[in-house]
Amino acid sequence: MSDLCIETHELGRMFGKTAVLRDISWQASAGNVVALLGPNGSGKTTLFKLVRGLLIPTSGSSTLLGTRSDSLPDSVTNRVCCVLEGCSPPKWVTIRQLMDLHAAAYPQFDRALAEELVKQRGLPLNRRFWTFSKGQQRWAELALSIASRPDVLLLDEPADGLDPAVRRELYDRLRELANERNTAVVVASHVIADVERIADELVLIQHGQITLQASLETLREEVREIELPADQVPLQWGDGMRVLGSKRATSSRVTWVRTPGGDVDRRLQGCLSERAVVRPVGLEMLYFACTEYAEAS
Amino acid sequence: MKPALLRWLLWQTLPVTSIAVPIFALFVALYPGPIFWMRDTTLWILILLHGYALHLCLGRPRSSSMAHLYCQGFSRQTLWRHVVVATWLAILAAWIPVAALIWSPARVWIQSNLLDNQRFFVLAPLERSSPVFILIAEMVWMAVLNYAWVREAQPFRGLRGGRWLARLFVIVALLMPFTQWDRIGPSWLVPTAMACWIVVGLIAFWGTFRLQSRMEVRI
Repeated sequence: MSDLCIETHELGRMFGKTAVLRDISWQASAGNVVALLGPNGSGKTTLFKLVRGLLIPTSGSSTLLGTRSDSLPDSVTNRVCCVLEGCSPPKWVTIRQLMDLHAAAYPQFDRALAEELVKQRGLPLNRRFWTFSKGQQRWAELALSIASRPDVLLLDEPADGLDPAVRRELYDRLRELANERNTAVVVASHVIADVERIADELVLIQHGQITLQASLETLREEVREIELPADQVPLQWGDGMRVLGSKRATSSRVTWVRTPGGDVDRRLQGCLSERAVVRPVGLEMLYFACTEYAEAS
Repeated sequence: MKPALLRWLLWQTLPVTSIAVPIFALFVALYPGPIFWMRDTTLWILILLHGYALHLCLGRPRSSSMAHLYCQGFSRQTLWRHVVVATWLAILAAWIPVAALIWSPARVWIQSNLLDNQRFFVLAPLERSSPVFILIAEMVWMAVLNYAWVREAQPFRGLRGGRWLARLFVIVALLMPFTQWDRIGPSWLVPTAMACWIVVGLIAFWGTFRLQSRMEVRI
């Protein structure tokens, strides 16, 4: 069996005359955690919906576990869990009823694990959903999704409303799911520090298009932050080097540069003066470089 | 069939059913004459309202709870099959007490002893078939509503044809009792009209079946 769990090919979606997604070609493999990042309205949720078959693409195609997303049979859907913003269960249900639904939907659902995760946070199984706080409701949904032991797990803003301890627990469980059960986990989140801890790959979507797609390890190796005094003349970058973004402060200019092909620091030294300061870049800074400061580059 | 999914859907219809059962039962118990499905506007209003309320419970792809269900590990076919069965069960749950009242001596007893309607027992046999027609009428109405819902949720096009069909159904249903068409028309008119209702229901049902797999869940 192929390791590819999600594959999209030039996927696009219009709403009226607005193109929300364009030419999305992307793959997610089993056992990987993918961080799907992007500003509000960039098309992350639409991408989830297209992959899960809740929306039909205007162009291109998408497959989930080897089957076209717009005609998923039970044998595929019962291996895919999807927690989306705005798709919450009715307020009148109890967690026990939700568990029954999950047990009917997912043959691999682990009821004992679900009960453990839910009770761990002090949530009684027989209380109605509306009596819980927003974060508790979110945790209940996530706990059941984790206990469903899916092959693909799509999570849209899962940390929304969760306190730091629950967030940590969630991301540890997701990593565990990817490592031990070979689940492909895709997380769209604005809490970058959290996903950085567990993600293997980064996909950055802006204005409906993928602008950056790489493994986190590669990005850590290839991207550097370079700070130069403001009076320094602009640099001549070497072959293959790409400026992701830059920011001008009063006394200095910071530039983020991606240098594919290895030996990054030595190659950069050849372009830089002694006054330049070179630093490695965290995911959060990389995100800002590619979004907030990208247009200045 | 997945009993847990069916239970989940029926739970959603429970508020409507628990309101409808006493209202329908009271209406039928207190109705002074024999009930003819084609001649009574109030009955049609009850059928239309009940069907629409059930539709709101089970057929709204833009509600967050329906979207939640569509995100679970069920295929479209499985969900559609269960929605259809849950709809039929909810209709039966609401009208079976009515049928029991009509088919048992209860309604005759209420009319004769409590409401002092002494001639009712003579007319009672005329309404024996009404529960069957009521069930068929509401099932056709639900098929039309589901068709309207699924057609409107198709991608890229604002297909409102289903909504027009539903409006036409309401107009015909509400105008029919005023015309007394079953009395003044030829003898073949009633069976032909019945056949037409059923054909409309079957076409809507088939159309829904064809379109539901490409329905979009937008929230």
